Amino acid sequence: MNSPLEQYLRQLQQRLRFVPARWKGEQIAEVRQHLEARVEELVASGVAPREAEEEALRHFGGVGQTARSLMVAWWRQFLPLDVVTRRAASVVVAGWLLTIVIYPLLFSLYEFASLGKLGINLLHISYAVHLLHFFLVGTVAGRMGGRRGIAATLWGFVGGWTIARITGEILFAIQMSDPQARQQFEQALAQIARGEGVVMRTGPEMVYCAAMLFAGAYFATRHQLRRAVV
Amino acid sequence: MNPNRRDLPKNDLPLLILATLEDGPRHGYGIARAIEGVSESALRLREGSLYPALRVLEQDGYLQSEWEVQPSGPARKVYTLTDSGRAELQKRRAEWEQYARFIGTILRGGQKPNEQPA
Repeated sequence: MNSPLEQYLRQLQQRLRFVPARWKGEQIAEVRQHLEARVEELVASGVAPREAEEEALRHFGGVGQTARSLMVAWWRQFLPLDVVTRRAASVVVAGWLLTIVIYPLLFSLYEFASLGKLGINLLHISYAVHLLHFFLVGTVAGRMGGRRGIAATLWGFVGGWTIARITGEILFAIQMSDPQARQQFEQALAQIARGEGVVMRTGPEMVYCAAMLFAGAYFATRHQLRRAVV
Repeated sequence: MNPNRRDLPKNDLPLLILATLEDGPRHGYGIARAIEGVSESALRLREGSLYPALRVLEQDGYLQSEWEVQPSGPARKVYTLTDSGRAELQKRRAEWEQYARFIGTILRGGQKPNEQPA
C-alpha cells in the first residue's frame, strides 16, 4: 500500500515512541478516520483520489510534528517536561547518566579510607568540579537546543571530564603526600595485583552523583517546564 | 478559499474545542469542520494539532470520550463536554471577552465602546 495516506500512517506508527501500544493504536485509528473523512469530502467535490490524499495530509500537518505533539500529550501526565521532544535536553540527561555510571567505576580506585592532610576526601572535590561544570554547560545546552545544544553538551562532558581529571591528579598528588594515604593506596594496588578485585566505595559516590544528576537535570530543564499547551 | 485566512494560534485551540462541543458531542473531524465552518474558513487549523489538544483536555477532565459503534464502518471516538469542561469554557470565554475589550479600547485610542471622543 503506497498511497500517501498509508505512508503517513506508517510513519506516524514508527515515530510515536515511548507510549503504550494500545494508546498508540487508538491515536492512529483516530487520525486514520479523520484523514479518510477529509479525503472522502474532497473526492466528493471532484478532486482525484491521490490528490485528495495529498491535500488532506497537507492540511493535517507534518507527521513528525504530529507524533511529537502526541508524545508530549501522553508524557504530560507524568512529567512537566518535554524532554522527549528536545534532543538537546535528552543528550544532557544521557550525558549525566553516563557520568553517574562511569565516574564511580573509573575513579573508585582512588577511593580509599584515608582522609588526607586536609581531613576530607579531596577526590570528591574533583567530582564536584566536573559535575558543576557539566551542570552549568548542560543548563546552557538545554536553553540552546538543537545542534548547538548538543555540541555544548558534548563539550560539557569532555571538557568537564578533562578538567576533573587534571583536578583529580593534582589532588591525588596532594593526598599522596600523606604517608598513611600512600600506604593505603599501595595496599589497594597490591589487592588488584593479587586478583582480589578493585577496592571500590561506590555507595557514597553513587549517591553523590545521583544527587548532582537530579539537581542538574532539574535546573537545566526547568526553563523548559511548561504545560503542553496545544 | 477565504483570501484573509490566517493560522489559528496554538493557544486558542483548546477554547475553540470546548466552545464547539457546547452544542453537543462530536468526533474529531466534526470538531475540525465546525471550527472552520464557523470561522467561514478564515481560521486555518493545522488539523494534526487537534488530537493532542483533545488528549490534553481529556486529561484535565474537561472532556470525556467514548468509542461509538457505527452502523457501517469502524467505531468512532466521540467527545462530550463534562461539567468541569462547561465551567472551564465559561471561565475562558469571560477571559477572552475581557481581553478583546482591552485590545479594542487600545485600538480605539483609549476610548471605550459607546464613548464619544473628547
